Amino acid sequence: MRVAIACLALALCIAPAESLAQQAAQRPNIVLIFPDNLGWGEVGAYGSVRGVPTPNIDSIAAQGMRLDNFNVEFSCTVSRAALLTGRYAIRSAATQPTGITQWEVTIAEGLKSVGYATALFGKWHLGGSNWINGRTPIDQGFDEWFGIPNTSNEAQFTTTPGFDSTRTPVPYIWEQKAGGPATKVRVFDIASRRTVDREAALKSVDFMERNARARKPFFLFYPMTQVHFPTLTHPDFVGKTGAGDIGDAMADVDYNVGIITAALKRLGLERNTLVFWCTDNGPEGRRPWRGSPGPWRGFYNSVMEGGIRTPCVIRWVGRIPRGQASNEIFHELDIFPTIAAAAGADIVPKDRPIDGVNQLPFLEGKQKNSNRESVLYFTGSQVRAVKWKEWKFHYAFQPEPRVTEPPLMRLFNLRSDPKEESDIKDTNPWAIGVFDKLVADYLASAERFPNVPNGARDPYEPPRRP
Amino acid sequence: MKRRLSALGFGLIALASTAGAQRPSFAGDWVRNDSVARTVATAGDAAFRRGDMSSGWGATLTIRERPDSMIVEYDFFSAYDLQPRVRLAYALDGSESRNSIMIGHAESAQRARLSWQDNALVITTQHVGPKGADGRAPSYEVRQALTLDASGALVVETTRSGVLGAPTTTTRAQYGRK
Repeated sequence: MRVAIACLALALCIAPAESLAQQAAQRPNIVLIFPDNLGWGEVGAYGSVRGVPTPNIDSIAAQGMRLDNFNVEFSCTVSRAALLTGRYAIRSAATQPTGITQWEVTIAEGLKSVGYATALFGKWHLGGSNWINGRTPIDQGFDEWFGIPNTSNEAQFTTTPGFDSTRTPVPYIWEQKAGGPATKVRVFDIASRRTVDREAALKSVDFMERNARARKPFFLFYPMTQVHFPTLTHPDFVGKTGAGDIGDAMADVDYNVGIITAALKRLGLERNTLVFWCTDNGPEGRRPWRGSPGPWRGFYNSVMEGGIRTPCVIRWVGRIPRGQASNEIFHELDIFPTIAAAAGADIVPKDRPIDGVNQLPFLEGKQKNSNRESVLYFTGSQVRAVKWKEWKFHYAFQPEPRVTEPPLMRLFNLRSDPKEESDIKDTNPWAIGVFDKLVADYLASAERFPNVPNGARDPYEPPRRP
Repeated sequence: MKRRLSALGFGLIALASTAGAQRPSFAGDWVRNDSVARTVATAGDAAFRRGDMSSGWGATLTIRERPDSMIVEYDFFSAYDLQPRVRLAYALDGSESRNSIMIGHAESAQRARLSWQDNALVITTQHVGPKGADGRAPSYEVRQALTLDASGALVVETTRSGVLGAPTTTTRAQYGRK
């Protein structure tokens, strides 16, 4: 009898644990590849203005959906914050000097809470200048990471004339596992800048293999450093495309994507893995590495379409119908809720405004329209423009960083005027009211749930609401 | 018949009223003074706003007054575009005027009526808005009140009624003589 009771008790203890493990094993893997400063015009599936083939990226599009109206925030750090939290970066006070607070809940934290293995290999840029003290990827839900804590132009530091390591820290490539300290791998300079993405791809493969063997679902975040300046690519691709440094780097990006997708195929994980390939903001604008925005106008650090409309292809074999292309509005904010829905996991926070929406039914072809019809574009604390359906209203028109041209307030119809050239607000007086209302809705939510203040330290707690 | 009589009545009132008091003349070439253009009212929090919808007639305009109509012309295209200025004609007798503007992606059709309110010439225009969730494009009203200020500058106060649940907004633009 005693034995029977003990067995029953043991069974009751084990059952929930097994159930959790089974649930975890059934969830799809998530691979999120996120190149840097890579514009619409560089990708084969989007027309490839330089003619550099990108068969691996194109293949993701062919096996799933190509989004032609994928929207992002206008610059590196704010875009990463929006992607990983599902919140406009203005809400989390994401900036290069400070990153985001530990109070933010990321995709990695959410997926980890339901049994996923999580890893970041590549560029972080959400920890600020003091990232090592509590703002590493580990502090935001990743089990392990390898790469650069900040951004790619730091690779130029040590070869810049007059560089003084006593005044400016030498930048490094780092790695870390949960529970352990961050350790230096090697100096991040022009030589290692060329190879860091390849290393990150190979570490990604190792991570996927380990978790495939363990039958554990994984979230792989591979934020590539290319084609951010200095756009100096892997030695294997230098001069190979005849399309300059950007063309060579694009070939390198595609090659590294192929490493990931080939591993998924070899491991038999293609059908059970949701793959995103999308870029953080519009093309690099700094010479001599100016990228291409394709048919749009503008570069990153602006809210012109070229700066905030980027390539995005998504694949989930057996779930997302093959060969789709859509001009429906999608935003990087939507990726968190969409992943949550794909994983069948209730992991999107409910105690704060979430600007992303679940787009899985749209991706799966269960509905024709996306679940989003508007986007707000911020620079700093400024609402600079708003997109609603095919209309885009600029409150402060600025075609390039630091360049303003009156009138500041302009309205464009993006279908008839994709380059945002002919201001038609005078013949569409309705616009101001409709766009003001969209901004007012945001302002009302920010009043109810105040944005994290700039420079907030950890531990951050939001003010109590009455 | 009733319509004709009422139009005739309005015309007579307008004429009588014009004859009874010296109305300001808005005729001439005008250039907007952007330093004073500002939003004067909005239903939402406008703290974010830096631009201005202005008058709805661009930065440079010409007004011609004829016995039966007022003509407003303004620059919409650049010189390189080789397109004529936008031309809007408004009947002075209070009857409905129809204007159509080709703006590239569609023709903007407008129906307008003029009236005097003291020394302000008020143009009330019906526009067609964007399609809502029900697939219907609502009609809405824009009211432009033209006055001359003490310095002789043309002031156009434009009130745009909200559509699709949006607030009504008012802007004021001032133009100096060219």
